[in-house]
Amino acid sequence: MSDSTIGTIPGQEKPRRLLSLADSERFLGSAFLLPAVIYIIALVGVPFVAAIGFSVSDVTVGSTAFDFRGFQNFEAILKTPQFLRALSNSILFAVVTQVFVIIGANLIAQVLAMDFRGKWIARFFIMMPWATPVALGAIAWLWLLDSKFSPFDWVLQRMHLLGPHTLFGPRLHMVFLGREQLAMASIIVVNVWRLTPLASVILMAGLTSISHDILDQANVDGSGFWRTLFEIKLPLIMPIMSIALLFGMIFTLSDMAIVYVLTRGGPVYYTQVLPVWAYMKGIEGGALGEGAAVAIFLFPVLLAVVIFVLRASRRMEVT
Amino acid sequence: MATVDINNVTKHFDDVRAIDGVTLSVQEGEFLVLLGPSGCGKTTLMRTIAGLEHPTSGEILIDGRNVTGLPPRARDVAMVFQSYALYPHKTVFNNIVFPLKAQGIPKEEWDTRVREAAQVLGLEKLLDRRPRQLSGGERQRVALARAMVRDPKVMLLDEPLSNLDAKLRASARDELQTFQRRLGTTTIFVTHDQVEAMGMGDRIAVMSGGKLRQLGTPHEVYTESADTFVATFLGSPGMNLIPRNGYLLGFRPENFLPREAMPSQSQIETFRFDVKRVEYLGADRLIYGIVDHAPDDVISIARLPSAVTFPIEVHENHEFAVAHEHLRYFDADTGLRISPQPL
Repeated sequence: MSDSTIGTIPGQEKPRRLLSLADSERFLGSAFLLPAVIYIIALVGVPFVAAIGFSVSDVTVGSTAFDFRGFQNFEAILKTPQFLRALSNSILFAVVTQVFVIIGANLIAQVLAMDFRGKWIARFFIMMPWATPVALGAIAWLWLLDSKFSPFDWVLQRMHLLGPHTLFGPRLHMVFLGREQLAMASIIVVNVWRLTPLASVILMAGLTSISHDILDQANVDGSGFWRTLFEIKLPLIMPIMSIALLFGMIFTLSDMAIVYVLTRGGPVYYTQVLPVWAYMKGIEGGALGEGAAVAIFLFPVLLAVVIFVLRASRRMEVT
Repeated sequence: MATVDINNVTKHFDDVRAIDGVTLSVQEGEFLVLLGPSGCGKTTLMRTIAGLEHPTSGEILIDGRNVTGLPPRARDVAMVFQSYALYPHKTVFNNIVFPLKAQGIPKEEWDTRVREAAQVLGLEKLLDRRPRQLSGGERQRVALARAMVRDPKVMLLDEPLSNLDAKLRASARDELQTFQRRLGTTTIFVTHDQVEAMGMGDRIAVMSGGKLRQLGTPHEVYTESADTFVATFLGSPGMNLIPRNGYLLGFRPENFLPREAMPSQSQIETFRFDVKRVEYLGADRLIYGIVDHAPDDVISIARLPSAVTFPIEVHENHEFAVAHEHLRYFDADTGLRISPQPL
């Protein structure tokens, strides 16, 4: 049977039916959507429902017993001092990180949006922290911030900022991860290091999408660098900046690798955040129900952030 | 109000000579049109005057002051882009007030000056709107208001009418010219549309390949075209050029008429015309054909006004004529206009 005869000779029902199926938008639409729907249900929907189920049960790692316990898990975690600390740390962690990320990313994006030699290589290096697996990057930082062998200590000592009779003295080591505030600051620095590249690239895309005519017009209108930046460029990339902010918030609030690798929530539980706590309770501690309850607690927080940012960005949309 | 002097300006982008030695003086209050096909360097020349590009060599004087190395904000020129380049996030009021803010004009003057400009262009009711809520014509008027509000020495307009539909363009042409006459601001207008150029310019500077081909009044550049480029670029269709005795003989389609339609007393040159095609365009008829002794690939066109009802058929070999005063002569090699030659 040659191709040209398909669907043309009466009586050849089968190819005809196939053809009409291929022409049916209803069929094609559902067929093409199906993989995505299966994917979302299997990998997002089921775990989400399971987590909600776990959070109201007494399920543990070691047993298959599943008894409904209502909100007992939530009550239990709300009573612990770690909970409030982890929640406020998570929020502090996300907000402070984003402040630095947005400032840093704006600076980098301004530079990267310019034309200069070696721009390609500069972009490549700036993307590196984002391209590195989080856990590997965090381990490198763990070594850099080591309590005895940190190169930062060495540099500070040579600059006479650390050691007896100096600014940070008399101790010989900063012990970055062993002191409450310094540990939190270290975590924030590493997170800024990791998230700035993505925000920079997003903002750079925003900046390069501003029409040259608009910038030339501002130039002819007599606007200098700062006025153009604050009155033209930043307002125009505000919607895309809020998307960068949204990504940054979600990545920070849901990330456990950096805190887990660097401090495991310590010293004591002073740098604890919700995802790490959920993991420690549910997986390491075996109390799946309570762990799920902690994890579920993130959901309304993230949802609120997403709704707020998306609404704000739609309001700022201009063209 | 000011003069603009462009002295031997060149602009190279790598190997491309976008502007190739242009010298041009714009008079005070003049409406000068830079006309040329796309890629001829007219927009680059305008951007150089604005200070958005810096010339490779040569100098630019505004009102006698050398501004060659100065940034745009120190030149006191206003520009309207083809896209209008309105700030999309600002209201009409804030768009118009922006140059005043940027130029450090005292705050007390802002409101009156914006309202004045808005009134001239009929924008009073639109001041709170944003650009996306405006029609094409309204956007163009906002861009003009923003350009005039600071009372610049020179206004640069880069094809500001090309984004309007045909009907609106005709009325905008009229408005723009009235507006310029009223302000008396020296204006340079870039376009590739010869109808705009002929209709609006005090003088037209015809450019091609980065060079200035001719500078003159619309009448001069049309009737006394300096070279074959100007002769064929202007007019629709452009001038017919026929090689003859080592030079090019030129005549415009509207002057190329059937022998019978010529006034009998005038001195004329006659041609046998082999008609290939007739196009009926309502007000005119275009007759395509080959003049005898001309090469087969040199198509000449005659444009007969509808008043000439004389029947002309395809494949007919008809006698056509041009009055001597309408004949032009060009050098075959350089394309430059030369004195009348023996026919």
